[in-house]
Amino acid sequence: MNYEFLPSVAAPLARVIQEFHKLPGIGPKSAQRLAYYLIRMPAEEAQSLAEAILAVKERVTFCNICQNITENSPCYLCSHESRDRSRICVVEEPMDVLSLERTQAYKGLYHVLHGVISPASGIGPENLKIRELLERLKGNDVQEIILATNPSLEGESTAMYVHRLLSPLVSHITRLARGLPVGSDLEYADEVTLSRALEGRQEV
Amino acid sequence: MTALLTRIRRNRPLWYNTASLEAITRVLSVYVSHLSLTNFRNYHQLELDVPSGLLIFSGGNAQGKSNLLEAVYLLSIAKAYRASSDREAICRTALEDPEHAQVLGIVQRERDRVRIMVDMRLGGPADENERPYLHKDIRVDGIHVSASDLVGVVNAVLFDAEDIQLVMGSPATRRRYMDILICQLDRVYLRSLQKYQKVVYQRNHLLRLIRERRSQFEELAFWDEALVQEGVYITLKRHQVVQELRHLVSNLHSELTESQEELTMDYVPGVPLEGLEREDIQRSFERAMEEGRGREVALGASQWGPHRDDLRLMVGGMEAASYASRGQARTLALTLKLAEGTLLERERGESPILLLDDVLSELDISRRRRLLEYVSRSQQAIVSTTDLDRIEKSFLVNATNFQVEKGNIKPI
Repeated sequence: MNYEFLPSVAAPLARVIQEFHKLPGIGPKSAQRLAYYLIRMPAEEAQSLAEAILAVKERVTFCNICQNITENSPCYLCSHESRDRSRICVVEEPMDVLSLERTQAYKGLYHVLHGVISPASGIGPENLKIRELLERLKGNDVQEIILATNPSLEGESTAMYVHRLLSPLVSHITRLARGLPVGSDLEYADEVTLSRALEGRQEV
Repeated sequence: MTALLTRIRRNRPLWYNTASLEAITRVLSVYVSHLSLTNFRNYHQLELDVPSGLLIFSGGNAQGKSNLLEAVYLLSIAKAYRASSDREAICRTALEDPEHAQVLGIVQRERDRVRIMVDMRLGGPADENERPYLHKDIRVDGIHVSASDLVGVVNAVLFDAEDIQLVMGSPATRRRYMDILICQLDRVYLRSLQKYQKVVYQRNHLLRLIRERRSQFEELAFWDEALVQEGVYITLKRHQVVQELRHLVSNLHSELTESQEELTMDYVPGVPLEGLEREDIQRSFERAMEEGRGREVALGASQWGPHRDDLRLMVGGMEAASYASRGQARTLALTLKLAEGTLLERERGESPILLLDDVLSELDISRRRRLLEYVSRSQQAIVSTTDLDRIEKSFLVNATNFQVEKGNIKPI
């Protein structure tokens, strides 16, 4: 629906609906609801929202080491004393860093690729932050690269590409394990997950 | 509840290789005994009790015969087969609650009866074509199940006018026929097929990027490997199933035509095969990819693999796609569908419900008789026809007959 051509909708309102509609996960109805909510909002709240949106574009940059989103480069994780500098975990998106950090089980550094190889979307290795990863390895003593891209087709293809590129440079390249989710029931696992879990079984 | 879930799970398709065909000797009976439709296509409200055996629904055009068969099929696969989308299945002229339709069926099985309910409701956000989203709620004995869990609770095979495309249409329709059949027998196959399709899609784009010198040859490695891995599995499965089907198909066909015509069916793989063992297939794929890479880049499309497979049907030594008459093609299509039903029956030990949607009209008298004789042997066969004259007295006497008129059904 194009609100710009609906005379019954005031032009500024139509514009804000259109803008909301562009956001991921926001359909036309949600966009309308949000826009009408804005109108009833106190002016200072609207001001604060607008400023927050501008600030996120102006003040946030990418860390020149790990390529994660940060306010100051190098980022908090890359400059933190206690992190293990001999390990780098390679992920697809900045959100993946958050997920891994929540585990509190990993103390190494990260590298964010900002995407996956997907020829259909025209994304090749040169569009990802792979060159930056190669640069990072020069002169740094990195013992292990953990490939933590998603177990999707594109994630696998990216992991394999990075693996081939880095295998002459790093002694230890690992891939996240695949298998049964914690707390689940064998009966409910699908055949592919279960056979992967069998392949990746470990000594107890 | 756990007991019921286990029961549903037990009825899931068997793994193709684990059950020997001869192991199951007795066929269990399954049939629909009651149907209740609300706002489904042209039925505002219908309550219908039906027996097992041969059921004949007659009536003029556009009275609701196909819609009734479609409702039964919906209980089996949770999808409306005729509608390009399930949305059209909802009756939009209904006075009350026009955005909701329901199909409920009671299915009698050997030891128990199950109540299958498919609720369809329009609502939610529209898709990219501004059509409203259709929410489907499927319940078996009141317990919510997913569409893929419903597959296997009741098996049905549907015959309709479009089946003729299996013979006359493009190889894609015959690949679809193999896929639907194998998916019901082997759950890993569906995943493999879905992955394969994604790989081909990505790989074709990459081939075009290489042609335009925007990507490097080396980037193909992963996609080649993935294509070979899934392609080998799909080729192997299709080959195995066609082996099973070949004899069935040629026996059924000579039964329908009283041995006047001989039918042979062959699997034509999209990769020239050196042999039929897994290793041979693997080697054939690798060689085809290696030798044909230049051509693939030039064409910008993957040239070898199961996406180029076909089934070759020959009648009396002639290729059916080019030489079969309409009646011959109809008989062939029926044969393929009957074979599908028979294979499912052998594998699962349950006789599928046969749904014949106006397929008698193009057959001559003797083929019609043979077909009806064959389907009368199944637990339940539901046949629709515009013309009762087309069906011989001897069948009418033993069948249960219904008259369909403007969304109402009366026994006759």
